[in-house]
Amino acid sequence: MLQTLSQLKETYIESGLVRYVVRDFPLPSHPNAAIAAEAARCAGAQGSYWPMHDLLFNRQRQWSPQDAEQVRDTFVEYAGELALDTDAFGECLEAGELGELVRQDVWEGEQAGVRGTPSFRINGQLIQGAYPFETFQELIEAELDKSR
Amino acid sequence: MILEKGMTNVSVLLGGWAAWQQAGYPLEGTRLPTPPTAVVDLEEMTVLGDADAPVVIEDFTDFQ
Repeated sequence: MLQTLSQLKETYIESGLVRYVVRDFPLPSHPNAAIAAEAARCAGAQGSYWPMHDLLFNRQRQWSPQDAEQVRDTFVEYAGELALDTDAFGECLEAGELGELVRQDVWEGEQAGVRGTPSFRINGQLIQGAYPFETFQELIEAELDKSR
Repeated sequence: MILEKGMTNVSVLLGGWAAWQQAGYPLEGTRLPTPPTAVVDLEEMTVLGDADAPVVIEDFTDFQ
């Protein structure tokens, strides 16, 4: 998805045609998904949501199999790599203070009919599954035509 | 009335102008430091792009 997002950024987001919103939808079958979502939010609290977002996807193989304690330490290391305040980051993760934002997203996703990931809503229209940039392009152009 | 405003440091209140200044109480016309405001909008941190963009993509994601 990172590659598709990069293309979307270049083609539509930077030109003001698309607003892209990440909604957390950690699946219960993925034990580290919720803490990963919180890690991204805790980095975001220090202004680094997107660098952590990308790092988590790029290092997925490293942290996915780890247990709860290991994964926490790994995410704190990532925060260090991003030159964040690791104490504040660790405290944020420990306190779970941004978990409410994640739970809110999950609730909204469930209300929208999301059952798995990746899922997208394009101007409210739900699409489930991973698709290449060209599919997004087609759907975006159709929406842009409606707004012209 | 003074106590109601939380100014309970009576020795400073009675100590005159020099004691007032030494205690670091504000002077007329000085600007009080404002408390830091949130730099990051927690609701907006996961968003890229303009608020008035004609197309909105919501990406329901699971990092794992």
